[in-house]
Amino acid sequence: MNERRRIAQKVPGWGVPALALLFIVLCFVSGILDRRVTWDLMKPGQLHGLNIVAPYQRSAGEGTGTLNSGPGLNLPAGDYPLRWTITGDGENRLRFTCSNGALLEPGEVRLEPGEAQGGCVLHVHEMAENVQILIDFLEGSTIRVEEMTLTSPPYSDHVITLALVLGVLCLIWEGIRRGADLRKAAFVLPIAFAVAYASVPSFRDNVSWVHDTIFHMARFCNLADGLAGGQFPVRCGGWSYNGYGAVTSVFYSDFFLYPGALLLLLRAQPCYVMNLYMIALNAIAAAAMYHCARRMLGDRTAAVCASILYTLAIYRVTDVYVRCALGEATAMSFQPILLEGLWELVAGDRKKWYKLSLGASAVLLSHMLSTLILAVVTVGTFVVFLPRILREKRLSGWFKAAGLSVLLCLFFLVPLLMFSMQGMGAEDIRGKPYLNAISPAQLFLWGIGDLPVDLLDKSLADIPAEPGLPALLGCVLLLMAAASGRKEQRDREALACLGAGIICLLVCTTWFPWARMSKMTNKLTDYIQFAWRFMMAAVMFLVPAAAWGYRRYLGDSRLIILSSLLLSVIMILPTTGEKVRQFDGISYGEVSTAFIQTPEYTLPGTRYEETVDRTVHITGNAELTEYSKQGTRIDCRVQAAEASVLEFPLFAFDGYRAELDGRQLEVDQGEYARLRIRLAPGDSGKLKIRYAGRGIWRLSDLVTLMTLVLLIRHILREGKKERRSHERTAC
Amino acid sequence: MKGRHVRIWLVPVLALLAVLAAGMSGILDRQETWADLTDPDDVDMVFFENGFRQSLEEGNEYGAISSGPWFILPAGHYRVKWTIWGDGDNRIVLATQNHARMDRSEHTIPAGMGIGEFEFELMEPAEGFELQVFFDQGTRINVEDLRLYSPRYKDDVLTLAGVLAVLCVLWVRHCRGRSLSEVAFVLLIGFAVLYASAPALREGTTLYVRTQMEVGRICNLADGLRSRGIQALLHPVRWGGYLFNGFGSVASAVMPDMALLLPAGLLLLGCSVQYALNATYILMSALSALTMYRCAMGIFHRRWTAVMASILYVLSAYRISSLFVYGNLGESAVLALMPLVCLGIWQIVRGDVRRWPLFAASGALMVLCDQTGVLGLGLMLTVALVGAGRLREAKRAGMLALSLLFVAGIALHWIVPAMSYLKDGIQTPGLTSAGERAVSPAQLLLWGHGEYKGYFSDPTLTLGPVEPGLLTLCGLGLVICETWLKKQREAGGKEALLLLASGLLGLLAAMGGLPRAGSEATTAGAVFLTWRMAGPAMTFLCLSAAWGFHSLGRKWPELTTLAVLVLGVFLILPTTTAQLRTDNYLGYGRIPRTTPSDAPRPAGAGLDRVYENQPFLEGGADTSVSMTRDSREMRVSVSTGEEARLVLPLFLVDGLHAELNGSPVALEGAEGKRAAVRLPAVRDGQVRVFYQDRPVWRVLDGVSLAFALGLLAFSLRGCPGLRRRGRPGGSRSGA
Repeated sequence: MNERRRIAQKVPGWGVPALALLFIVLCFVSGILDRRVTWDLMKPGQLHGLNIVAPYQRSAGEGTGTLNSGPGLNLPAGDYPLRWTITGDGENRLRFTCSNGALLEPGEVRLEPGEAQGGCVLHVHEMAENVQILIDFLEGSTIRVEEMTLTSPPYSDHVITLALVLGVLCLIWEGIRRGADLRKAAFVLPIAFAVAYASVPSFRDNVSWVHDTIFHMARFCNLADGLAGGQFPVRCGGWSYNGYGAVTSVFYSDFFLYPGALLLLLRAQPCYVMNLYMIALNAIAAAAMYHCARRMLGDRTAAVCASILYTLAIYRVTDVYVRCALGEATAMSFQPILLEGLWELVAGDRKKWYKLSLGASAVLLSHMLSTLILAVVTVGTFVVFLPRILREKRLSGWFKAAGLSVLLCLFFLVPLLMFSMQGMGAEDIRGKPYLNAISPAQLFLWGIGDLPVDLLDKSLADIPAEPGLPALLGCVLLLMAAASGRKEQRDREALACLGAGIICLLVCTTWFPWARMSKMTNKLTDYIQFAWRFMMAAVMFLVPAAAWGYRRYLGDSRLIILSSLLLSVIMILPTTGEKVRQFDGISYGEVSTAFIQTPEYTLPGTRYEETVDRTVHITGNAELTEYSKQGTRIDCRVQAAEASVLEFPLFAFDGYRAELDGRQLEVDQGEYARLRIRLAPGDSGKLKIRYAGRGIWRLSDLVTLMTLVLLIRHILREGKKERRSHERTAC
Repeated sequence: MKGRHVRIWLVPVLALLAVLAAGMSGILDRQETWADLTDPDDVDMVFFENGFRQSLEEGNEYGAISSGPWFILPAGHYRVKWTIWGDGDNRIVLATQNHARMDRSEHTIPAGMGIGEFEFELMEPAEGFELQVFFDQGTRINVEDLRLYSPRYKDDVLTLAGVLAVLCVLWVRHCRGRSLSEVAFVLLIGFAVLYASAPALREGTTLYVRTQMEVGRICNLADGLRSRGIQALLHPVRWGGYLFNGFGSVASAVMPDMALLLPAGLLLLGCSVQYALNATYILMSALSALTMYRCAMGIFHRRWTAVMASILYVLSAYRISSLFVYGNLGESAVLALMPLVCLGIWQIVRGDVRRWPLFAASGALMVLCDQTGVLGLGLMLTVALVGAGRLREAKRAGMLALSLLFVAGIALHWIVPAMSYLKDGIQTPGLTSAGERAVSPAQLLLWGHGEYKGYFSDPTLTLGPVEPGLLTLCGLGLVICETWLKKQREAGGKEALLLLASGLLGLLAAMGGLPRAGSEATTAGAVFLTWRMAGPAMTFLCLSAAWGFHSLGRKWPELTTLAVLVLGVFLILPTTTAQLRTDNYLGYGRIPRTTPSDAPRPAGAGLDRVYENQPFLEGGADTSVSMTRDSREMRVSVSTGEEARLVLPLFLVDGLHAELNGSPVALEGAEGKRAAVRLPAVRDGQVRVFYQDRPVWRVLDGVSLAFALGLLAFSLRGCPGLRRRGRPGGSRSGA
């Protein structure tokens, strides 16, 4: 060990990371590790191929016309080299079309007589859905199609993977250099094993097509489009709704999607980004729960056990891979920080009140419905422990935490409130939790993915919505330990968690009066959609309790970690196995459809089915030239002979700005909520349309930034103080 | 001291008052609302072929515009809420496919009235219940909403009572200074029971293989209990008027239904069918856990071994399968009682012989729960006679004989009528030869995944899991290793080996390894599936396996118990999950058909005619017939100008009696084994039909009661002969 450390210390601290970075940049620039996918469109029996009848030829006697359909790919923007071998004695044609009106260049290619092999580059300007490469047999006596391949643009996925691996190695190197004992970090291995097993469905190229896959992939693409358009933070992206754009970022915070969106801009494939994000969620969940349990229970073995139980909790894995509810899954990854914050403000170090803010902000910036659920949990905790809080003078911490949370999230809250006041929102997502509450029986099932059929018993979810055997067993062991009479210091914390967890479980079930709650709250609780969403809070509470139960029952031994790990892995394997083997999916090289068929967060009057029309509607006598659209940015030249109205293929969200040769034009809402501009007679020049947002939003961004800086400073100072205090105690 | 005593019992009394208040006030009553009857996406919907809006201008015509939802509903008080607009008077007609009686058949919707409701009472279970909206008048009608509300059930009150009862027990223990730590191990058993009861923890229930039959029998029994009232305490129910659309059945006489008394009682207390079934399932598991714990404690005298035996038994695949794949309540009750029988016989042949009443009482109860009880008892006796050398002691053999006498005496009131009815030609079509359905050895090594829905060409495999299970087999392997390989055998080893041998004997029988003729002779055809022999075998095997696990982890008994629990739960999860997620679902507030094909009925009684459930006259002139009926009797008002035969909607069975204007008249058989009465010309005649046991059966009821009371007396005071001599030798030394 010392030898290793000596060698390491001879190298400058920045040396290895700098070399690694240089290597990555070289790989990225040279394209040596770039990845492409090639679709052999003539390969029989594949999902995406040319639908053409064998023997792939036609003679004049059989009639001329289009030979085929397909391949029906959903392609992200980029350049796609196409090669073919088509023999014919006449001049024929290749045509390129898509179903969403995206611009494909060239629109067609002539096949000269006698020329067998050929190629071109298909330039896809914006995401193209259901791309068709059609072979038109126009003249000559015969045509024979022998080969056709389409190749994707180069993707930098391998470079990113390499960067991540090198990043981890650099961290280990730095640890060695600083003299850290790696053996002490051995506890990370079982957690990493759990993360690996929880991430099994992500260790592949494709993404399963499950409940919310389309929506969340669209969020990534929309965010990347907003970033490419020069917005930060992004409020309106121009990818969703077939390029009409969506303000999903305003209503459904995508704060944690920025790394993924940046990767998309760095040429990563959307499927790769989704899979990487899911793995990251699992890793963050593991780390957050470890930290929380270590702090609450004061025991490393129990913390590792808690981390494993949480990472492999069937409901959490369901959120990631069965529902692909990435918002809720993100909130679940961060909610242990909230739990830790609650504990600090009730029984821990009151100076660490900011942890509650960090946890609450992270949840709010992940998922709104989770925020609603965890707000109920937080208020409940506050009310239950109010006497203790008052007795120990901990009240101020709660107020400080609430204030800090608001300031940290101000950049998100201000646009959200402004858009909400304009009548936008997600009224349609309201469900009937009283119809979706689950039977207590569901809590004791063994989840095996989602059911392909609707059950007659509506009180059973068609997905694994249970806490899982490992967590429940740990809770029973905790009860046994508590009943045994031998008390330990952290029993009370664990029992409090168990109590809260059981209450949350009951809220999920048909035993909770959801119908009455809906009436009492004027249907506010209907936004929860599914009563079983409270399982996220139940799991958060039950896992530390169960970990402590294992610790108490089995003692401080590696057996706890091994048994919880094995049991948890076995319990989730059917679910992950089923997801890996799922037939439906978005294959590598493709992207989800840009047609989100839900009217969430749209303007009144929106008709998403009209978004297939991507042309500019002109009423009056105006001429439009040099038109180009990139997401939310439109550039063109206009000349109006008389008063004219122009309706662009963008939704007229608040925040768009139009300039005609630097002169600002008024923007309003046209038919089907399209962006409308009125031109006066004689108006001419260069028209620029940009999403600029509002000035007050910039102010809220600034407040959040300043709060964040001050908070980091405060945390660093507190850390220093704590270290000094420890050193004094040690002395 | 007195004040403390009052304080202890104050809580239970208050709990009782709370339950009574909740029950009487109706505050916790539960009601099912079918609110989506007009939702086209819902399976349970009223079907509007031409849409919800009808208009003469658009070419629609007068008449019924809806049909469905074709529910099967239990008798009770229902409410319909409607939102229907029209410019003329229209109607909602209530129709059933089985012609169930109800207090109203239609409701008029006044012109212009948009929202309204009406109530009606179903006096009999209704099959194919329909809410038919009739467009009668005006130019248009618009149906916006239809809702049906079930009767109010007392399910939640009973749940509250159960929870409070448990809390009161804990409270009393606490007040008496008993520490909770003494019973902490119960949590592990409770966890096993919880997982074993998972499919019952919901509002509805799965329609398991025998659920239709069991619900029919339970309701039939409840009907009989309702008709007998307090007399049922002295004279058990033999006939009920529920099954076969009211044609009645002597199911209770032919098939022992002691196990069904609980759900039938819950029905009489106002619970729903689903709740009664689910509560019984859960209680069966809890009872199994308790009896096996007692049995293992009695044999091995080690707590953790007993806990392991209890967990193994509760989570054994065969028991779970019996409950949640086959839905066989009788057999489940037998399995719950089997450990007590095992302990009882153990006490007689190897333990404290003064405890022989345990065997007699549990054996009698077992026989009265299901036919398999006879089989179980037979197996136990075989084991006792073959495996226990101590029967050579005269008093042990004598006590065994005495116990069997009591078993026979207590069961006499069921055996004789059952034999009598079977001799009279009452058939149970599901019963077949015992030689069929023996399982392959392959079946014993499977991992059950619920009910197999496909078609087997191999009749030696069962639909549900009936195997001992991997965990039990592992435990048995440990027993063999421990007892054969080690020179010094640990205490209990011999018993474990004996139990293992007994279990293997049962498994051998389940595979058809015993002589067929012999098995048919011993079971008299009552046990119609040979693989059922695996049930009694499980009792022995779980006990033995628990000792095997104990021997493996004697230094860490708690850890071993935990491992057994985890593996046990793990192995049954596929079955419970599959049975929950099946679509054979009986929603809350509904019932299955009242015509299970394998319920006892007279030979030749077809089920196709039972929907004609009105009496009618054959022959005669100038006739009129009308009928009223309740649980006790059927009354038919009849007039006929000439001699005629009144054919009744009842199957003719021994015990049915008829009176014409108070004078007895003979019943005779009509087509389809219906009961009929030959009438003279009569005006305003009243025919009363009722069920009454034979006098000799009433005597037998008394004999059985006397045996039961005698056994109770022996249990409380001890057997005189044994009491004088004191504790017999070898009571615990053998354990």
